[in-house]
Amino acid sequence: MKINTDEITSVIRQEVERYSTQLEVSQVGTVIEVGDGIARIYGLSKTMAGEMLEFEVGDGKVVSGQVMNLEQDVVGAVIFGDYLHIKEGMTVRGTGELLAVPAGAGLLGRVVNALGQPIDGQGPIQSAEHRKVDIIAPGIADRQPVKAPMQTGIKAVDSMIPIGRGQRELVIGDRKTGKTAVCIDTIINQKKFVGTPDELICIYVAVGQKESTVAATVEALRQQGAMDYTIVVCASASEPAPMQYIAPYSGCAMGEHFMWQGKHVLCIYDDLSKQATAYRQLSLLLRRPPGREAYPGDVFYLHSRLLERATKLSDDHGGGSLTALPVIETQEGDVSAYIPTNVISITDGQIYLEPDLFFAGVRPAINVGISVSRVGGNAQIKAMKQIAGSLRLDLAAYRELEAFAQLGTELDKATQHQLDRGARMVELLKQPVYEPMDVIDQIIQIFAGSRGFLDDLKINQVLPFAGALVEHMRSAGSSVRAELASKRAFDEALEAKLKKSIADFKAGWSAR
Amino acid sequence: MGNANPSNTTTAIDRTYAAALLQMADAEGRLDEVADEVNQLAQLLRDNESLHKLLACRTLTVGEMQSVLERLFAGRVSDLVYRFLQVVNRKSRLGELAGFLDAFNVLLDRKRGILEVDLFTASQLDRSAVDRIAGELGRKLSKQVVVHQSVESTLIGGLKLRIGDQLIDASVATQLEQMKQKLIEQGREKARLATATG
Repeated sequence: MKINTDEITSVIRQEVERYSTQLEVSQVGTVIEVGDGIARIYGLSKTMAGEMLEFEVGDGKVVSGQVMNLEQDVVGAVIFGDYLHIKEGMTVRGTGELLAVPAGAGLLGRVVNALGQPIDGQGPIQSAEHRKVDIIAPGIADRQPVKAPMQTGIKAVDSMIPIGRGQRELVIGDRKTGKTAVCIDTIINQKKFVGTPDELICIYVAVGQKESTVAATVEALRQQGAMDYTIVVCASASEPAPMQYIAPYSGCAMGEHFMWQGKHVLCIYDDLSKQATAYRQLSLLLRRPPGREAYPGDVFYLHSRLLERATKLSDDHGGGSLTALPVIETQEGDVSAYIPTNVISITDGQIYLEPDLFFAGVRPAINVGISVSRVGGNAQIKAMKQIAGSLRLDLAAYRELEAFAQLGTELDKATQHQLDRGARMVELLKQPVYEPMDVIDQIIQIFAGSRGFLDDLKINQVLPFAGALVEHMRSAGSSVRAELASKRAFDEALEAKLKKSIADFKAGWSAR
Repeated sequence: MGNANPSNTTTAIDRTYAAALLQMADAEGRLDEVADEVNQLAQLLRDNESLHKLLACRTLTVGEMQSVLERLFAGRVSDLVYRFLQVVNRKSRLGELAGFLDAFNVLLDRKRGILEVDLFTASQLDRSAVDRIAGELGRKLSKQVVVHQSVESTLIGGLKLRIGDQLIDASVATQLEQMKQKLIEQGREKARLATATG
């Protein structure tokens, strides 16, 4: 950038000319108590709840904070940033403004902290606009039902737990069960929609995670070329509790900017249990009364007001959407703890991940039996809906009979067939990380499985066969695939064509 | 941080006790006398750390403290102030006495139309300049203004006034900072437009 001295001179001249008329009048108070990211301030008698404060820590530096409690004589505030420099007796200034973060296309590809400041060392954020972090969600009149699919690229999810744009789907499971992987796969899967009307802007909010984990995630996204349409908001475990508390709201505000432009956004909050813990910490320090598990009384509202902001806007407002994938970590599979039950009741369904499945090699370790999606069915494409029903039945029957099979008893032929089919379907739904799959390919694979083309294969041959089948359908069988992709539904003729195409391929493949 | 204004940390309880004393003194028409005693008492508490400790001491019962107060103050202060001290003792709030006395002064100032203002300047102003500022402020606010001056060399020039919760900043340092922010913003905006078009 060139520095134009004339311009600077002109600005300075204007300022000097106006000097006598400019007075800065502000509300002030005095710090009477500080510690652990919390300050109690005397004064500031006309301040508003949620107002941003500035602590003057000397050397012209300021640390920002936010008003949380308005008490009779004092104001309780949280401190965003380094609270170690704040001392008793320091002056605090009210800014008269609420917390806002930068928003806009300048954030794409960037890693920012909870205040929207860059932390990836790539210079300042080029964005002119700001959005308020804590707003009330759009009302009924502003919304419409969820109707477009949000493809995750994961076979088990897109077939049986479909997620729609504007939905809130909880990802829940113990530690190390692949919750983050499901989310990252979903982000990577959006790469092929870039530049189409289905384009999805992704916002990944990392709360209370290790910096190394976040760095690895960002690197994975970058390698997959997914950072171009992604914003990472990071409030790591080393940051003060107030930053972890507001990070999801900041990410949501950044997403809403695009949503109100009529675009589609996906917000991943990874994870909300740690956000609740951070909120519990600052609530207790602010001396708000503790409730169940020592969480404050408004911990339900903490999550409900965040997740209510996920919405599909009405066509009058441009029809944009914001899909939320909150993540909750359970302890020893206990979903009846306070925070998991809260978030389960707020969301429109949940994806359960289980360590037993994970260690049995079923990855993604999704328990499709108890995972549900309450509104996504409306958004699923028709062809998938037509075959997902039989898939669900096959798997349900398999789970019922699985116990018998382990007893080693003699089974009748029909039962054995059910077991074989189920085992192959489970195998078919396995998928490596960072390899999301196009929905048409998913349909072809599941179609092959549910129509019995996999029944005579060995289990370890299922995935190689399915992979090769997809390749085949993209080359030799491309006309059938194209027809399926354009119709997006099965009729008798198309079903027959697809069956024939799969049978032809299988004849050649088995012979190899 | 250079705060001469005692109103800075009075709590609601301080103000409640102080208001009671003030109203009674006013009703008896002995406001000046009581104010004088309150100031002496506050000075005494400030000078004698041990007296403050004694009053704040929780190992003495209310009855024991009552006789301590009697020996210390009976006959030395007016009847009203003495009774006030005994009531404060009966409510076990003698430890907070200093706050009550501060609050009394704040309320008294308010009643008399006196406003305490903190004035921050880059260098020491002479008496006449301070008086001029006080006079001008008093005229604007229609109050009798008492100015507490403190020097903050970081201001460079101009002045900063703190009136209760309000800070009026007319210092050169703040103006320069604002100018700096404006320049940075303009530069950013330009760079943004340049990248958007180019």
